[in-house]
Amino acid sequence: MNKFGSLYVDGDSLFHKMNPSIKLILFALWLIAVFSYLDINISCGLLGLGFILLYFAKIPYQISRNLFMAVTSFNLINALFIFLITPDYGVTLTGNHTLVAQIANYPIYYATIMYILVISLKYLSLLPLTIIFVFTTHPSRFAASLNRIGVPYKLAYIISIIFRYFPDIHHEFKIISNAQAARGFSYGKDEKSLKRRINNLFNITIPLIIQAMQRIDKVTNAMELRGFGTSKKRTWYNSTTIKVTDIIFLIMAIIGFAALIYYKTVINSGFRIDFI
Amino acid sequence: MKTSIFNFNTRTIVTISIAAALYGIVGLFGIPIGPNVQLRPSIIILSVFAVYFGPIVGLLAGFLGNMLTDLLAGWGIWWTWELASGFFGFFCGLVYLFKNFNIRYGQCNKFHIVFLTITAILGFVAGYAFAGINDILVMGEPPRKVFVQIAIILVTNSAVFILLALPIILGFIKTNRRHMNLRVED
Repeated sequence: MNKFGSLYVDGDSLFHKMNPSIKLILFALWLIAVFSYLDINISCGLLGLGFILLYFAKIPYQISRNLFMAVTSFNLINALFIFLITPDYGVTLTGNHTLVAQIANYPIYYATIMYILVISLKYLSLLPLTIIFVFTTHPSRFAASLNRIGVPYKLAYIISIIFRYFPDIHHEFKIISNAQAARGFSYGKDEKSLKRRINNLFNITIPLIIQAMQRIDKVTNAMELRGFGTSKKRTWYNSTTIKVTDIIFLIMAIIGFAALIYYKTVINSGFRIDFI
Repeated sequence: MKTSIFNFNTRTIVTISIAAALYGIVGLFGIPIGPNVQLRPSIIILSVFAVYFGPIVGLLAGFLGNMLTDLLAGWGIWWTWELASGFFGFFCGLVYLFKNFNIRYGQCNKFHIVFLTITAILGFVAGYAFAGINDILVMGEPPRKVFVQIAIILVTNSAVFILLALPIILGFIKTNRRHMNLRVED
């Protein structure tokens, strides 16, 4: 499909073969690891490791490029925001008053620049594993494996339906906005007045909501006709098993995570901008 | 008849999923009105679904929908911000619990509208305060920057809710009332 479409990219890599719930656990460990450090060594290490893993996932570059651009621009804006509002935050963290430059009464501290670098690297290192998780996980297999590790099947089915229907809804959004644009109610840049653009964008939501209500009826009827929810358990067409390689990956991830905890408790527990 | 909010039947599951998918997709669109500030129509989606189907649907649709937005946009899962959306959905849906409020039949009075406005803004405050405090304590963001950011989001989102989402909800109530000229006799 087009820009987003259904996200799963078929492939034969390490990550495609991995059990989806194991992948979810790895993803969660990764997020915790990234979120709980403000340390340049950890940030650089995780970012490097992330891109190595991304190389193994063999996802075409054209697909991940949009996400890469979006996250980089988010990072730049965030960095600018931090810099404009709190130019001395790095100094309060480190106590290092080294001045790099001074532009018209506006001091630029070494510590603040390093702080912004660290926090941008930290956010950037979320990207590789997000790309891997999003593009190599088959939605139905993911739901099935969630059910297997103990999530109630009704909850797992919610995930399955979300991933099944969001490309359709995205398509519908495009159809409605194109139809409105054809009538002269565009929300794009071709409309000059900002107020009218806002109005046009917000008016798209009403037909979308009404369509969604009808879709809820249709899907509910189809599922009830097939007897969904009558039994306590259900079997899955796309059921998966946990293989030996999955266990090995899990153990490796847990060892890595334990090493990070060791690093945090013994070597450095707070903010750190200098390399080891 | 309104269904109980704890009744997890097939319809509830489908409602949560479709609402989350819709919220997730619409969350990708917005009109930039300033640096890092976008007016997003997704608030309308979440508040309408929460008012229609109750707080639990609002909570789960907000949480999962925002997760979908974040995954599609590529910045991992920021579970505190997803939970902030969930809080907003939950608080918006509280008005569903009143016995004499029913958006399907257009039953609604002035008190309900005031209650809905107050709870929605409270939902924003609770959600963003939670996410912001977590950003400061866990993520290590500078407090002053987080405060400024949250203040901007709070003001724009409250304005969007009052100026744009509330009229749409009232519109739904009015349309549904027009079709309900029958009365139940005891």
